[in-house]
Amino acid sequence: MFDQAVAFWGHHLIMVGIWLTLTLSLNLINGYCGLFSLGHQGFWAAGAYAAGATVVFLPHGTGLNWLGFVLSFGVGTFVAALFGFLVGLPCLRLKGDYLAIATLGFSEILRNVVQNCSPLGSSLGLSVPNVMRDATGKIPNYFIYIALSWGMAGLTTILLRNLVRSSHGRAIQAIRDDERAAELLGVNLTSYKVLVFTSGAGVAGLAGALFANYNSFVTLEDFNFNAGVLMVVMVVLGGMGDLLGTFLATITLYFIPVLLALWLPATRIPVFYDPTQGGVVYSEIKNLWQVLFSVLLIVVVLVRPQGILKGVTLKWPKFSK
Amino acid sequence: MLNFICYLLNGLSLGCIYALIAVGYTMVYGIIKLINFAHGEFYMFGAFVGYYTLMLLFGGSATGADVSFAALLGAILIAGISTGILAVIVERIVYRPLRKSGRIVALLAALGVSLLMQNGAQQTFGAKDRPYPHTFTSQRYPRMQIQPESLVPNARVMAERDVSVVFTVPKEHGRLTLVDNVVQRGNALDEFAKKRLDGILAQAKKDGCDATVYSYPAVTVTSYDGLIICVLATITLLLYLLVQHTRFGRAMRAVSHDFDAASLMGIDVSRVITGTFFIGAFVAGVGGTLGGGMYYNSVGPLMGLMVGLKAFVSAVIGGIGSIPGALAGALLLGVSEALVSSMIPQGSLYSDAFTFAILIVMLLVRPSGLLGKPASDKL
Repeated sequence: MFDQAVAFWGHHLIMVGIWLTLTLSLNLINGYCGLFSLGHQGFWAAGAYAAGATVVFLPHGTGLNWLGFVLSFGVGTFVAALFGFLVGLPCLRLKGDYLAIATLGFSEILRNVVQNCSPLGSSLGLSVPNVMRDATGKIPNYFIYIALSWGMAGLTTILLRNLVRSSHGRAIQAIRDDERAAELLGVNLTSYKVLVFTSGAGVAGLAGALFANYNSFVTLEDFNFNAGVLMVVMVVLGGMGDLLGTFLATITLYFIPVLLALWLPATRIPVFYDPTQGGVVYSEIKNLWQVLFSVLLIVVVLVRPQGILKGVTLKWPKFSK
Repeated sequence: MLNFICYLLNGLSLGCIYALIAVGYTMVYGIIKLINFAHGEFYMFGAFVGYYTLMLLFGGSATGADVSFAALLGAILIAGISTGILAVIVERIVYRPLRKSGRIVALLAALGVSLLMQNGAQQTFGAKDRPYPHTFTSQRYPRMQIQPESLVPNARVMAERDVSVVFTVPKEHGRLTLVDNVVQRGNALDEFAKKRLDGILAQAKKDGCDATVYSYPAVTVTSYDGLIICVLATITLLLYLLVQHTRFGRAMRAVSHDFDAASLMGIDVSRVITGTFFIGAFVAGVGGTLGGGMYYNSVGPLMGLMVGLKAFVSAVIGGIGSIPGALAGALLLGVSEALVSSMIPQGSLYSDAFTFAILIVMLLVRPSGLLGKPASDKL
């Protein structure tokens, strides 16, 4: 019972750390630099597959397994950053909707290529041997992974906060606010945009490497379009370019479906009358969480389009005499 | 060369399916600058309405008799109209309150609607794809009737034309047309094939079916392809008349040209937007019935995802906001996808990557698309 609870909540704590890293890095691209990207799941996938391939193709033996584990993080980050560089370079000329579609296009191309690449497991998925799992495939100690994933998220937060407050960060935000004015003031648009794409993608790749190593299995379904949409939603509802908001939005939006799936009863209710399928179609209320979640999403967008926390300043209450 | 023409026609009908969706994308974008990501789901919804109309109203089934032309047309129209109504409701509830909120927020709302429709369809219709009810059997044209006696078996001579038997089977509620291929071009009409042909004819005679033997030239069009192309041509003509020669069309063009000025001139902008959503979704619903029923022969909750994305790509290639552009882009995309799939070894595996590669090249070389106006960058 206790073990099950540890496995359940441990898994979600690790995943939330990975998602935080993803949304924080997407926030650099979307929120701070204003480059609307819909292809972050592609960078995540690139990192995960590169890391997975490193572990799989490195010769197995004592000692080398740990080498592969450590090396895979570097390779995942590097490959995703390279991919981000390659995407960022041609996409410099595009803005707004067009940029969003181009980045989506790049991630779909990557997806299609992986789908047909048999060394990477095609559409079946890639098994990544994990040094931290015991013979039965269980993870003996979740806390290492929780520490790794939250450490990664924390490190990203600190790096991002420092970057944003530096002169480079101000240049990046100037690009978001008014590209032409920024250029006139001497901000090098090309190098900053490429830098933002490369570093954002690199961090997403790091998250991908952790995901591949922790999960021991990656398939393309993990990195589908809806995953990318969810990331963008988290960033926008957190208030673009707001670190605390991103944190809250990511944790909330990650746990809402988890809790819905956990708490909704398994009672079957009629959802549809379909004579072609033999009458009334039933569905468990438990399974309706996706529908509820999308309704919730639309409602939040309608009620607070500027981000859940935008305009709300969180301060310690001051008690004056 | 002849194969090439075949691939071309095949691609053309795929392009027509893309075009039926791309038109709605481009019209909505032209008016309110919104990428309506839920549009692919309107296509899915239309396919389901067509499915249920055929199954429940017109007694269709996956293995049933041919439906009449009127029933098919009725299903297409009902699918179109209900999809249009759904789109108007979605616009009224979700998009209208966000009209002043900026494009990114509206885009998010559209993504939300798309998720809701996918998930909702998965819960109500089930996650599995289903075969579409049988409408009619696709036949190939042009064809020439031949007498079975005139076919003399000769194992050494290659047949120059395909030969097949077309026969109709009486069913309880109508007739079912079936096609049985006897010999393919390039194969010899040998004793074995002749025996098979005689067997089919004898069995057909015993069952009281009409059986006719036809031969075909190398390049043919199937009736599905023909119908899809005809529907697209009709819709194009109607759209042209609507946009260019009616008061509503003039209002639409005005709103797309300058939203604020149009509303100052007394045009009821909200009504124009509602109308645009209705027309765009109507066309997508028609596309859903044709795409699900004729091109893919399956219907499922996620059918609109990839097709919708590709239709969007074609709208961008043609120049988003321009209706002729969307049509041209969609046909171009369909044809080039068919050519890549068939002419390059293993090309069909990479057709998605190819589509998005075209998109990116197009965005880099000419972001305003083939027929779009170059966007001026106002200071």
